[in-house]
Amino acid sequence: MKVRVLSILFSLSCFFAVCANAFELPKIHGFSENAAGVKISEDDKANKRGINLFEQRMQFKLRYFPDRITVLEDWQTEVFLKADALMDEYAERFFLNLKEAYITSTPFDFLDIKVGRQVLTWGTGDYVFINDMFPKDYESFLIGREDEYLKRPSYALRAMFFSQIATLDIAVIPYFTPNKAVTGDRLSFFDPLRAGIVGRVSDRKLLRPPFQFENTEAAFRLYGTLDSYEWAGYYFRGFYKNPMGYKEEANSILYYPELDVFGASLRGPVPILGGIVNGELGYFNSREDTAGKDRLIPNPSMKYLIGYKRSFKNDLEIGLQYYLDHMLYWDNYKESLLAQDSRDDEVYQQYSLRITKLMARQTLRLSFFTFYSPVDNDIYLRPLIQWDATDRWKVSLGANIFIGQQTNGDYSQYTGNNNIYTRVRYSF
Amino acid sequence: MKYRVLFMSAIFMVVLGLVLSSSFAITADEIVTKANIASYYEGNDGRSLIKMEIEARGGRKREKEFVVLRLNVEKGGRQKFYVYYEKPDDIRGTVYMVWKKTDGDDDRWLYLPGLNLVTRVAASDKRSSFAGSDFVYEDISGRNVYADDHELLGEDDSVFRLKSTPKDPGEVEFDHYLTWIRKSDFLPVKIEYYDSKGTIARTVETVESKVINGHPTVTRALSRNRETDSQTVLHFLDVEYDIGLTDDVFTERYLQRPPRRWLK
Repeated sequence: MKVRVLSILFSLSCFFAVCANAFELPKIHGFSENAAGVKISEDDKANKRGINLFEQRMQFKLRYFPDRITVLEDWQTEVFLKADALMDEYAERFFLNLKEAYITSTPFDFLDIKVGRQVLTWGTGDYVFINDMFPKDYESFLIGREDEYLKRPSYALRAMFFSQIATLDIAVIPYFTPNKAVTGDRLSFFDPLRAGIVGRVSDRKLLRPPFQFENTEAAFRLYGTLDSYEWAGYYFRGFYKNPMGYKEEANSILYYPELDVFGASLRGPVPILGGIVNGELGYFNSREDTAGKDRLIPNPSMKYLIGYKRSFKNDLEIGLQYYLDHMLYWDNYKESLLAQDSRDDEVYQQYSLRITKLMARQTLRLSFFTFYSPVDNDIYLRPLIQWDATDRWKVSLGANIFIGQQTNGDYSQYTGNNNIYTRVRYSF
Repeated sequence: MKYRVLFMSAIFMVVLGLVLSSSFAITADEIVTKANIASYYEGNDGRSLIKMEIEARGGRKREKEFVVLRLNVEKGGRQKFYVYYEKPDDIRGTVYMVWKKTDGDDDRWLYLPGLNLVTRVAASDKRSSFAGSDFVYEDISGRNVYADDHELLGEDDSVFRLKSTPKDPGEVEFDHYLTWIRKSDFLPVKIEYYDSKGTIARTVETVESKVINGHPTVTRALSRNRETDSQTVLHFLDVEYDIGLTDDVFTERYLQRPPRRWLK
């Protein structure tokens, strides 16, 4: 079966290659990658022991300009496709993932439109997201896939209105895409329903908002630049991206509660000292329980982020971030809890540090990212070495290390999943 | 009649004298300012496809290709750059944008297409390698003419020879540099960077130049690093001037949506 699928893919790509030559079709680019991650902590809760990443992946990218149709050419129309063929040896399955498929156009000078499956990103944080309420794949992040896989695509209609003063960016998302939840198959995690670390035995059922008109999500961003400073205001109306609400506790049914986020950000250079500072905040309002009285729905909160990064001589860059999450109705939350419930903290704090150093004529990239929370007293280390062996071959060696005692800490819950991984990629 | 001829000749001689004396009196600072304009500010805007070939000692040859769009905000002063990577394949579509300032740090942005992420880049050491090559950032975007003290060492029929010494030696990797600037068009022919021991550490040469749309243009440049025994060749292809770039090209809009009409 595997062989057949791969051979079909191979012949298809040959066919496209031949066509591309014959009719000057757009070139196909992409990469082929092998990745493997070996677990370095004793853990038998997930499906497999020993490894948590083992896969072969081929990505195909194609950009096409339908210039034969005059109106489309005038509107600078562009079609983009990106698809991954993935043989996931961990899941023992073959996947064909359409990563992106959109059409983008400029019908007026002041308007860009982008329709289809696309990756949406905004906000100022480095691996920390407040106003970016677009779906993420934390499983990929935690096992050591390329950064690109942290973002999941959304089905969206995006319109951007430009003017001298500001840009209004609107994304309408009719079909709900959640964050890829850690399910226990691959990564063991803390399941509050079982009050402990679980793996494959987890039987949580995640209920998504159904595909209905009233469940359409919308995200707005108004942004501009003043001198060297970028400002932005955000509004999101939709759902939590993690299954943070409990529908039926007894039956382990979780769901994605309704959410409003109002936020703002600012980013720019620091005078005299040099470097870039960024600040961002967001008010998270659980629409189903605005006063935070229901223990089954996340309490409304304020989230703050401040970051600073600067570069030094010899291709060294250091970045620091401080993140704070303040539960707004702590008293109501405390009152609502039952005796057996585990209690979350009123204030969650997290520091993160990124050090990047380029060496060997910028072909060797050493990077070290770490999260630390004094509240959960846990640490997540992400060291990574990337070497551009040639213009086409790239070798990566990295690790995901979780440290902490608390079973329900944001990062310490994953201590059973520490791994060392390697990726070898050929780009074309 | 005779007097008139004499009178005219006298005027002619005076004018000629003025012209000649002024050309004799050209100062080192004026030469450097003119060379800076000739190298980095020709036209109101410009574009070029740059092919970069890096050859390190014992290393494999690496190639990079990027389109550079440039807009002068003020001649000799602020500029905006848009750099779109075509090669290598793994970073195709990455865009690097710079708002160059002559006072203070440049503003720099980076667009990563895989994440659809627009991020701010902390202005780095301007003397660090540009894209892993033997050129440094300031070779590409220009060095502030006031950052060094310039001294005219000599000249012949075709070139000026200057010595430039940094005002702040802690900021740079060199002790001083010598520049040969062509008199005809003020393009630098050769630059030699010396270390504190007085040996040549790095050279930048104009290998080929052409007149394009009336503007003298370097079309091939070579930098040799004697310390690392490596060299980089830059080919400036498809150079065009005054193509009508506007300010809005250098904004987040076009980071996310590369302006194809200018990149072709």
